[in-house]
Amino acid sequence: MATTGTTNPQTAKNMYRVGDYVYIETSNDAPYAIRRIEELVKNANNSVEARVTCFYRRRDIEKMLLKVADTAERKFEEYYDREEKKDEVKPTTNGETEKGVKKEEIEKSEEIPQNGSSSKTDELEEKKVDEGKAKEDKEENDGVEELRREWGNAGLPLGADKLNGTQRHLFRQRELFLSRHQETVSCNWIRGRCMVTLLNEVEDLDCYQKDDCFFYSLVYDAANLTLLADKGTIRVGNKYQAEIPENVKEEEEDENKENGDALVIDEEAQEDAQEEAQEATSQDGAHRKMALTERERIIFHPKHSLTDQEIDQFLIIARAVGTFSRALDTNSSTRFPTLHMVAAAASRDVTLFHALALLHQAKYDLGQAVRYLCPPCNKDTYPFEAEKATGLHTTSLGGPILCRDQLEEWSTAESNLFEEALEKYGKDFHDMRNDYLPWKSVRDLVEYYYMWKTTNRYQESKKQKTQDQESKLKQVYIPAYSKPNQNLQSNSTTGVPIKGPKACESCQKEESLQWFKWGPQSASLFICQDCQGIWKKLASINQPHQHDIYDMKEPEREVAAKTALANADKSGASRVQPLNRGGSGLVIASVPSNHPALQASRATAEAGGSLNAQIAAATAAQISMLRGAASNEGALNLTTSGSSAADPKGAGKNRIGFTMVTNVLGKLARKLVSKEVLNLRRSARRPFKDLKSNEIRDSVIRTEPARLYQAANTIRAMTPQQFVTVYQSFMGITGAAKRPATDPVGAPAAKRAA
Amino acid sequence: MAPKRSSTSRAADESRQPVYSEAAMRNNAAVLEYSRTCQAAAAGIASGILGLTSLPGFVFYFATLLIQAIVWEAKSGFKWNNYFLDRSSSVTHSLVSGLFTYRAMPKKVAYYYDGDCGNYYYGQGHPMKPHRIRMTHNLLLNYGLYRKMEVYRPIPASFEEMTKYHSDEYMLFLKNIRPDNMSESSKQMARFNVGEDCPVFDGVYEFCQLSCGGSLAAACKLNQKQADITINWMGGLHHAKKSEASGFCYANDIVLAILELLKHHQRVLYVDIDIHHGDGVEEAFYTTDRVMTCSFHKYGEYFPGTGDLKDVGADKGRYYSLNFPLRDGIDDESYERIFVPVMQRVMESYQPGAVVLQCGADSLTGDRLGCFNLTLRGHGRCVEFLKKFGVPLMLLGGGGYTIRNVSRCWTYETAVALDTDIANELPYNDYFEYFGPDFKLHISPASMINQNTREYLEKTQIRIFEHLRELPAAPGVQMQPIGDEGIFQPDKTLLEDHADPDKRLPSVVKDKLVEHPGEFYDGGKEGEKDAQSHKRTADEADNEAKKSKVESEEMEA
Repeated sequence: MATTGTTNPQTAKNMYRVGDYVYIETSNDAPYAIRRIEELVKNANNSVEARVTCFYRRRDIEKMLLKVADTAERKFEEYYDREEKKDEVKPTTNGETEKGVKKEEIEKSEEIPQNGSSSKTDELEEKKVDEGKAKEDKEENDGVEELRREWGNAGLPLGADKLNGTQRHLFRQRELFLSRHQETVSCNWIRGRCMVTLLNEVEDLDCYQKDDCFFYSLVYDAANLTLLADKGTIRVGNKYQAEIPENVKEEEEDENKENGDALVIDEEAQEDAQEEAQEATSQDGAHRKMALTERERIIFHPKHSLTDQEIDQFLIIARAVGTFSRALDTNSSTRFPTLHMVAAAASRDVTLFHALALLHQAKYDLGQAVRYLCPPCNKDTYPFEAEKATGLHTTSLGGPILCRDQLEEWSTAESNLFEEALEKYGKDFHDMRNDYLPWKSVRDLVEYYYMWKTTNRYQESKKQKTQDQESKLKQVYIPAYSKPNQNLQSNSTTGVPIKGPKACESCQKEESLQWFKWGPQSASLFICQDCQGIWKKLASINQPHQHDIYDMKEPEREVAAKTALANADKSGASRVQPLNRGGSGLVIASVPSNHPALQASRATAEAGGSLNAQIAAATAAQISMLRGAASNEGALNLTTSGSSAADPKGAGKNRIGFTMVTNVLGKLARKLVSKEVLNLRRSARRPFKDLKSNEIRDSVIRTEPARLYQAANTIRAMTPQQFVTVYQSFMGITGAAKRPATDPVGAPAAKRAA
Repeated sequence: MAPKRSSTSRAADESRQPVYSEAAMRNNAAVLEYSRTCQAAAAGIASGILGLTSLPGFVFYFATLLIQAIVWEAKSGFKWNNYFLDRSSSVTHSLVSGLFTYRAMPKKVAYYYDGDCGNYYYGQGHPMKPHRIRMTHNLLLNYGLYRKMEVYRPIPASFEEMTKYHSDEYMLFLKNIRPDNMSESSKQMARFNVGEDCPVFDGVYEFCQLSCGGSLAAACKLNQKQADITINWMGGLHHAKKSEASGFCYANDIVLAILELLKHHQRVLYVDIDIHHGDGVEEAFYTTDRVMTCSFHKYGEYFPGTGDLKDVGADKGRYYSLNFPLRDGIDDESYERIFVPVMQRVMESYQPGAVVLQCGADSLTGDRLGCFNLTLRGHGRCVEFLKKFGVPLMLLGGGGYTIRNVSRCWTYETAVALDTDIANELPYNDYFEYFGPDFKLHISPASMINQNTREYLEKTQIRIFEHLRELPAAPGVQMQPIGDEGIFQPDKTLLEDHADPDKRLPSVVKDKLVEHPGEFYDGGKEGEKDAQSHKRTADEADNEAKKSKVESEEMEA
């Protein structure tokens, strides 16, 4: 499956790399999910998995958040206006960050969007007009409010106000919300490539209205149910800015500065002065005094009369002296068996750096420099300054100079110790030093480590490392997906468009090559091939429709959630991985802190493991509901297969004043389970006492399916079919093994009861 | 050239009262000047090719100058008084500025490096590796670039110097924190954002001293006009805030260097080609018009999250912060297409006295943390372009997390600064094996999609030009004499280390070495003073304890 870089256009199209944005198919009904590939990993059974970052569609986000986000002042021109206004009102209040100010304003607009400034009201009016139009468009539908899932032009590129209601609706579908949530999916689910960009103020509508083109401007935080602007701010105030010195030194005159001439004249004067100095001194070959500031120590400069060749010659002499000194040094002579190796050791950069430093100390006099290379045993004959300058410690007077770096300083025993320690501690040089090589400093270790990396021994250890890394791929080839969609109703085999069972729900076309089921089953709606493509990619058909989010509704939604969760579970540890900079964003929209969905989603975030926020919210809502109502332990098993690690404390912490809707099985459990097992009143008085969950579950399992169905029907009218799905999924999770006969019996029993 | 006398003046000429046509005079002067400039430039190039430097170079210049004067004479038909007021003007006219054109060819480059800086280690698995600076240094040596420039070891920056920008308590914290005592000050670590991205490692404070010392020295060098270009690859840590570490940066050497430059220059331009936004520097100079910050960076869901096109500065500094947000995968060609016109416009309208260029190498292709697609040529082009203006230029390091490419890049840019071509074959050096498998200098771009469409770049550029139009003509400050400038406050302890052992220590240092009066002596000084000195010790110890207590309380507050 995984191949490496052939650039055939066909294969290039199906080649996915890290960093690409892709469509992922999670279910037949649902539109594609949009993800970005962060990492491709080949696992043991040779299939490739991708770690992906989630981008949420609008449909995945809480409606009230969208409402706030859409009406929030996110239009670009207004940013400018507002900034100016702010400057007038409070000229950069010290200490208070801009962030704070902006946030405040947005919260304000959240509360009372009607009393804005004049420009805002203009916009509002415009919006109302738009709304009116949209209403006209959809007048035939009863549930106008139900349909409306967008509220303003905020978050759209320039020129969005020219769109009419339907166009805007379609365009809105291109808006995504980045999340800091990552998950692992199988690469087989990839269905194509798309492009997601950060919404930019300079680009207008047309830049984004291309195929497979999406944009985002906000970050969705599923744990806190907030939308953040992914934007840091530069803080203004005494605490953040540097104090600028008021004045410039006088000697630079204004006019000179203006035309940039100051430098010329000064430099020239200086140059002349230097030139003279050089002339004066160059005769006797002494080196010219360099102009120095107090902040530095000179090591080498090019203003000398030596040619490149002469310097090279000197460096060769330095190496030769080094070779000879190693021959004299007993330590070295035992280490290096051959002359070649000695010469190589003497040619390392440390020798050259030192030689050049000596050359400088000798005032670029080759004779003097050579004398420095083999100083007699007298302190005055050697420039220790050279060592200060380069930071090398190489002195051994009375004989040829010996410069050794860490690689050479270390004995074989020491390097063996080092390798052993490296294996044990990794690159924690501190521990390594403490336990293995206390006579070396950490710096020595670091220097040695980087030099050791160039040796053969490292190459060997690296081989293993690269083998480990082979499982991480750079790109993956995924052939175009050809299996038919389960929703395929009819397919033209002859290549001639066929007439659909109904006109296309989206474009009203009568004929198409393929027809797909769309919408809830009861509605029996169909869309044509083209519209199926649009639907899958944009998550909307050509106009707003009451069944736009049909795939997310009960009961299909629950099933989808279940399978998705199970898949997520199967595909290994998917996890929430916050990016480096959490919390620096600017909150655009958030729900009140006691909003049930918020708490629910927090619980899931802790549980860590969900495919998308909707499902997450749904799942976790039921966890907290469970605590709230202290009843349907069975439901826990139905819905939390992916998040069994949920911390009940987190969910139950602030459950002040909110209502929850228990799902059918939860209600059933209340009705059917005997008082001994579950006494609601009793447990309500003892909120911290654990429920006997196993007993409750068992007693539900033991109940006749027919009785279950009857009870269920009293709670909510449902078709036998629906009930069976719910029931089966419940049984599937609670260990149907206990009563294997349930499933086959369940369905007919339910039907009988009906 | 036009005759200096107009036809109407002929009559006057006859009456021996010379009348000059002003337009003709001015025209002639202009022609002379153009011609001289051309001559100087051509002579400069010629002498460069012939290898004539210093004295022979000057001789050559004057030789060509005389030849040109003769050519002018010939052109005017050896009747100079028809065209000029003074014969000597053909030789002396714009001699000085011509000399400048001639002189401007080779640049004096000062390079700062401290051999210790490669040995600091951020921690296991941390992408920031100071070792890359040493790799660059070794490459420079073996390419022979080392001997073409002035090489300096900077004096480390002192506490006082670093607190010119940073808050005292933050620097105090950095000075005292060590890996073995960090568990005691977790509260402060959180406050100063030290811990996660910016770990506490051995010698973190000294590392800051080195990078700041290098940049400060580079700034001084430019201020003293002792070099045209200064290079400090140890510096460029552009994320550090006034009292907060950020993005692998602890002390902001750039801000310190710019503050130093501001002592001599009215306006300083800061350019940042790191892939990350230069938020620390921008924040430090957000409200001033004396520093203009320009940053070209990846924006959107990327560290540090700042650097929107809309962020233009505040107060007096409004429109003096320029941000060019970019998307993934920008290549050499697109980068140059935006960098050159934008910087051209900035240089024209701002006219800075000095330019600081942060050359973060994480904008190169294949960076461990980056996502651009630049090669050395595209990156180095920025250096080349800014160098061309002849304004004092400081090159600083910065990001860069694929260390072999970082050292390649900075080596190449040093060569660019030195106007030297270097071979594509890497010379052998201590770290040669790092550059495998090809052992070449230049890297090739990856095959990734450039998400910066031409349209996007153009539109952003137009918006930036709109912002630049808001700039008034180069702003200035009132000229006033100022007192002791650049008081050098070296770090006392390090100064001791760096002092020449053969020379008498400066009194500043020597004073420090005076023994504490409370010291116990083994020698014969014990006697009647003993009791007193003990007493004093106790008192002083007491005082000191109180003082430190007060200090710590302040820190807490």
